[in-house]
Amino acid sequence: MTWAELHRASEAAAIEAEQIFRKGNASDSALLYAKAAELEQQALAAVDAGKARTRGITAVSAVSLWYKATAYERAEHLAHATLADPSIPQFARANLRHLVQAIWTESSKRAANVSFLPGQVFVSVKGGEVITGGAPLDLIVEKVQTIQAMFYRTVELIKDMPLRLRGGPIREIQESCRPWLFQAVPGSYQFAVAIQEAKQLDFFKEDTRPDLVAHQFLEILKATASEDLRQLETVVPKAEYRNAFLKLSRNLAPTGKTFASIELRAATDDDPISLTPEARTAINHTLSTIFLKYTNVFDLPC
Amino acid sequence: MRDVGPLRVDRLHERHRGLTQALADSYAEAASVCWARHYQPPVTVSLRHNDTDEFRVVNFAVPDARVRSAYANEIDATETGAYGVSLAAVEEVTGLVAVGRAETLTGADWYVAPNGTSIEDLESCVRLEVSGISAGASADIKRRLREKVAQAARGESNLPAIAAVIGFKALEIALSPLGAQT
Repeated sequence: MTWAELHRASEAAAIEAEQIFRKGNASDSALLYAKAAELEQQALAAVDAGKARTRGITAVSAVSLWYKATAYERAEHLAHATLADPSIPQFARANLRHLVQAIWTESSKRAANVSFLPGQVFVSVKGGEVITGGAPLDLIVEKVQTIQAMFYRTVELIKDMPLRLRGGPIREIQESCRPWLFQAVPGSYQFAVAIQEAKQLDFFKEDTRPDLVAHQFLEILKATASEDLRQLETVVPKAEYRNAFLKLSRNLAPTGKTFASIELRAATDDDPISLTPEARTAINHTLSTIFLKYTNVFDLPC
Repeated sequence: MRDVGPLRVDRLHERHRGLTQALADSYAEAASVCWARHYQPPVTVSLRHNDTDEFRVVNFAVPDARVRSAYANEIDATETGAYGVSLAAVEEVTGLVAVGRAETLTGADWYVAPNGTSIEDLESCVRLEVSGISAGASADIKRRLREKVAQAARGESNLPAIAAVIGFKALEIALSPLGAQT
């Protein structure tokens, strides 16, 4: 069979897998994704060596399909084999590295024997005193604690709880949505955060999507750094929460003395949210604007 | 701006040979759910490309309870609907149609090529990078497109592509070339 025939057959299986997954049947979907991956890997073997773009796209597609089939070993093996090929184009290399990162984290989560909510956030601290794979401990501990505080606030917002004015989150929140830290591929200093799944099935209201915690976390972070108050009001409708999130984002952003930037992104997103000293200034400006608008909620804890 | 007729999001499979009828139907249904959250048909959308701003009229079937329920997940519906609207818009503006798709970590990318091109590989195809925004305003669509263009300018992908950002509530479609074009 030619590349075109094999790729077309893989596409058909992948489309069917996606539609079945959206109907909530993850196991049947994984089987179809595996079939699509097998066909795509055969298509990859059938591409002429001179067709670099087609080879790159097909390789990324095949690794993605093994990943979606939750066949992480097959995905990792193919990703590394492809990365070892010097003729693979740059765009495919970048995508394959992201895939390897996601595969490692998913494999670790599986090995931990704990259920996690879908989605995770990759955090990367760069510049200044930070080196590849290493960073001052106090800096990382502070950033991790701020990220944990933002995750708890996000869960409280999703659960429509009144703003907590003092102390940490209630035990139910701490135990049900515990953030976990995972190692990520070195490159500056990186780690991944995933949220443990609540054991109580009715922890979230029926009309909320617990799998959106990571997504909501990133949307909030993006809105706090955007200087667009209207966007922030849309993402965080409660004024008192807006203030708390702005302070947390400001604390996350660098002053420029110890490190240059912190980037956060979803495993499924190539486009990170980057907090720099300029972002910190912008967040402070937004806080001042809000102070003038809502002076009664300014002095709230993070 | 000038009025220039309809934008056809329905029956995409008849023009885009990379699409099956089932997939084309799901794209049209999802788009109708996304628009119907805010409007009754027909809607007039702004289609921006190459410094040009045009109006297009889109007619869609009002989704019944069953269809709305099938696309109750807002994120999935917005993503699915945005694929359909993007393919229709790119076809209108560039004459390119979907010829194949390839999986990514995030979902899948469509590849477009001139209608009638024989596809034996993806060497001369253009990747379509789709973003959907359910309830954002015009500024959000512009910002999302700027982010895509900036990302390409930083050299994070050297694959020729077209970015399409669809704002369902904003009634806007924004297209821009990314990276080196074939």
